[in-house]
Amino acid sequence: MLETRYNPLTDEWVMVSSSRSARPVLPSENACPLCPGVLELEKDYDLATFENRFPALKVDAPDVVQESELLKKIKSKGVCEVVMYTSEHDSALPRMSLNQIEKLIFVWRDRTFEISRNDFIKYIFLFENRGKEVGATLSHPHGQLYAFPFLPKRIQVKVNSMRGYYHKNKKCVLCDIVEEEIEKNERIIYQNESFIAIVPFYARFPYEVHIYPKRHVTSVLDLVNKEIEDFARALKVVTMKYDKLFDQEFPYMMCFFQKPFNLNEVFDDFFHFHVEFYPPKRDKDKIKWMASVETGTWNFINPSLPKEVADRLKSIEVNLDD
Amino acid sequence: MKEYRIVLGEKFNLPDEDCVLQFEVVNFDSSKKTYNLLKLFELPVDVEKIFLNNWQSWGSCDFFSVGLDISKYFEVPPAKDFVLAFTPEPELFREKDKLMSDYFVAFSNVLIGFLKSEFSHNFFVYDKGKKTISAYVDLFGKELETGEKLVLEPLVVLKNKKIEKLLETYGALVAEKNNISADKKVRVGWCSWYHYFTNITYDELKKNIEFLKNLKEKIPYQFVQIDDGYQKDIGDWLETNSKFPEGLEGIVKSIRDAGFIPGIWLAPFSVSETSTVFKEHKDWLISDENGEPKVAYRNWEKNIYGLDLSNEEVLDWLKNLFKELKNKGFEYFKIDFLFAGAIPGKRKKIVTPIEAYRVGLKTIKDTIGDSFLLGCGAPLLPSIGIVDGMRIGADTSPEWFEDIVAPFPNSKVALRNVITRYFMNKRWWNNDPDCLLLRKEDINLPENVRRLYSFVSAALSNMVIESDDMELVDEEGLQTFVESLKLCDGEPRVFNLDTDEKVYVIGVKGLLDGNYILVANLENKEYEIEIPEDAKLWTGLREEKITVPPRDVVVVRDKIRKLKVERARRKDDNRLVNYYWDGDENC
Ligand SMILES: [Zn+2]
Ligand SMILES: [Zn+2]
Repeated sequence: MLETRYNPLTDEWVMVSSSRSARPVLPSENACPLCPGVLELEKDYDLATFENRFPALKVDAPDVVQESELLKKIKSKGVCEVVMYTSEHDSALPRMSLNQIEKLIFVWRDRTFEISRNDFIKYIFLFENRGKEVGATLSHPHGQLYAFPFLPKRIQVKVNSMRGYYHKNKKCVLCDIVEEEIEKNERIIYQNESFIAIVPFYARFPYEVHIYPKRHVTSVLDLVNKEIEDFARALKVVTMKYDKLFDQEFPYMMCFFQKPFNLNEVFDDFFHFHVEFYPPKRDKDKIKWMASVETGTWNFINPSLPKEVADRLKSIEVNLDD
Repeated sequence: MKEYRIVLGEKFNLPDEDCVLQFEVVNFDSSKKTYNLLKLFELPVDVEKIFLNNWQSWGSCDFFSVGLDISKYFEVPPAKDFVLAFTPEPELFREKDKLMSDYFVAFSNVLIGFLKSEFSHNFFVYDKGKKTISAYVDLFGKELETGEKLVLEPLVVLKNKKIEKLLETYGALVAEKNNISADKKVRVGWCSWYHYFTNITYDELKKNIEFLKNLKEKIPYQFVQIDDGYQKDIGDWLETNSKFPEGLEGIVKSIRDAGFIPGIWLAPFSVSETSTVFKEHKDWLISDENGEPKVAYRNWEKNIYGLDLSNEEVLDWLKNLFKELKNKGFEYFKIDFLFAGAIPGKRKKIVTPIEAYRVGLKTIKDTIGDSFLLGCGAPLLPSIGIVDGMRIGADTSPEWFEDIVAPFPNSKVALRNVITRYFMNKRWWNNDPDCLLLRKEDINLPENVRRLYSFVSAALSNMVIESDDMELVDEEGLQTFVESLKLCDGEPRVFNLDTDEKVYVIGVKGLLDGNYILVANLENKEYEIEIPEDAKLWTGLREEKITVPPRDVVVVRDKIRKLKVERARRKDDNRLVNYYWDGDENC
């Protein structure tokens, strides 16, 4: 079953993706399906993307039969892809060269451009789940993208807030936040000419870090070459600091927030592209669970002070040539 | 956005914030009542210039000084014979102390605009003496029973934004209200008009098809469209004249055999006084108050009449006409002089000209299905959601004239509208900027002007249609075309529509090939332009100043790193796989 169901209690969509055909057989038990020539990628590659074997959204999604007036469904028409960062199995964002990360940014740009040409795509969500703590079963460095035929709930909330602020203040809220954070310089853990990385004032997870472009850009497609270089640096610095924090491969969810596509609204003036990292850890061996309050009310309780976490992350020295 | 319901006649003050106004008329009389021109409100507006828009493809859209006298252009032929092309309100249009703007109007960071035109003609009038702007709705004799209520078409008030943001926001709201999802594909083709005009012959068409076929490697032409000149008469579209001995079938076959989509031009709502349709079916025409056929315009040295699209027989004839053309193999239809179906006058049924027009246009679209429908000489808002493409300016020309108001073919006027109506593109339909002319002979446009027109049209991601005798296009001309295509497909914004000199700064982002700023100089003088902060922000470029030669264009582009991509499908389950590797062409 592949369909998207509407929840009228919360005005949100739930994607049902229950058909699980048999997992393909790997050449050996320990073989990595993402390494070149093993399973998913038939050829050798530097970077690559491929459509998920078991997608929650696909271009030729099956038609749906309505359950009732009240219980609505739509087709799960969209795109789910896996993004291969490198063919080197033991690499990871913090260990990749800046050159490789710049190439990865090109891949994100290419996918965003190509997929956004489809009228039915309204939102392109780039992300990475790193570590078994957030459900990543394969260690080979990769991210994913989901291209939705609607705006997911939290994206709607973000768009509404940013739009609201813009209408009231005639300015972009993230432009204002960037300005204030740079001026205060309390929570910034890294910055270069084009980006800042901060533990935000409103962090929900103890080690949450956001990366904001200094210029008002709306998606990865808007970036100029200099910003791509600086974005690569910011991504590498943040993930290196994470790994050095407890001297371990630090798990995280990395989410990219771009403007919506193919909707009849001008998002360009108020939607500011940004990246959010949500690490599940609150200490070296402790997990910050998404428990009742977080899941049931969407309200987070952050057990640490963003400024103190920022001080700690800021003080971790990293060498970009590593 | 807040919505206000106002019963016409009740007192109301224009709200201070952005809002939608929904007026209603109610017949409080004890008998049936006929409604014509209704004034919704009148605002004091003390400004030097106003952004005006004409109702139709060819009409101007620009800031004009409030002292402008448009009416003088329509006092003598040929414009005098074309008044109905430019307004369904000829009396008001001719008043010297008034300026009309159809659908929307903008002045000092305010835009007021109607979101639809499905049954009424909706417009604004600036009164030079009173210094006011009034919003009007013409219901053309619509009848309401006692107590009956009619909800008029909604309008929006947008405030406190620069003109480009006002226009883009208005464009998006209109698209939203009309439920439009315009596709994003850039279309590339060839059209016979601007070299051959009505002198096109079958042999010349075949010659050009051969040239285009040989160029396919270099330029991805998709369609070849025969223009005016093949038909027996205006109204008699299925019969060709003696220049096309093999008929429409021959045209289709030649185009299709070369691997192109066959396209055809026609003026389906127009009928000439010498055509068979006119002779046999005078009752099919829109008539005047005496019941005599009403001349819609004069062209081809003939009187041209408009078809009554409220008449079922006419609709059947239209259906049959387009079914025949589609059956013959045409898949791209440029339909021209469409205003002829929307002129005021007597029709068989009591419907407004706008309602009749939409029924006619829908009949065509329903008949041709997936084929591409390009509107021209068409009322803008009533066509929305029906046409796939739309001409948004005057006819271009192998000539460049300085006068920016006169309603004649002129590449300058045409290009100006490409810039000022950029916000409609990909929101309402695909903008047709009119054709690119790239030949070196038989033309009065120097290379810089040819490049200016091509680059601007492409940067704004319009349709890209060439109209030349391809034998006369040299390597340089082809190169201009290839360079133009590299500018397509981004997210453009024009940053200085309020400029007094016609020197425009266009920023484009959202492209894999890199963001760029394009400066288009429509004046006959070199300019050093200071790049607006907003344009730098939009593109991320830091250029402070750009110098642009007279009637020329300059593009400053970010040098961005690119990878090579190989797109493949898996053999076992057809999943898409993209392989990327180094090989940046740009760096
Ligand atoms: Zn691997
Ligand atoms: Zn911003």
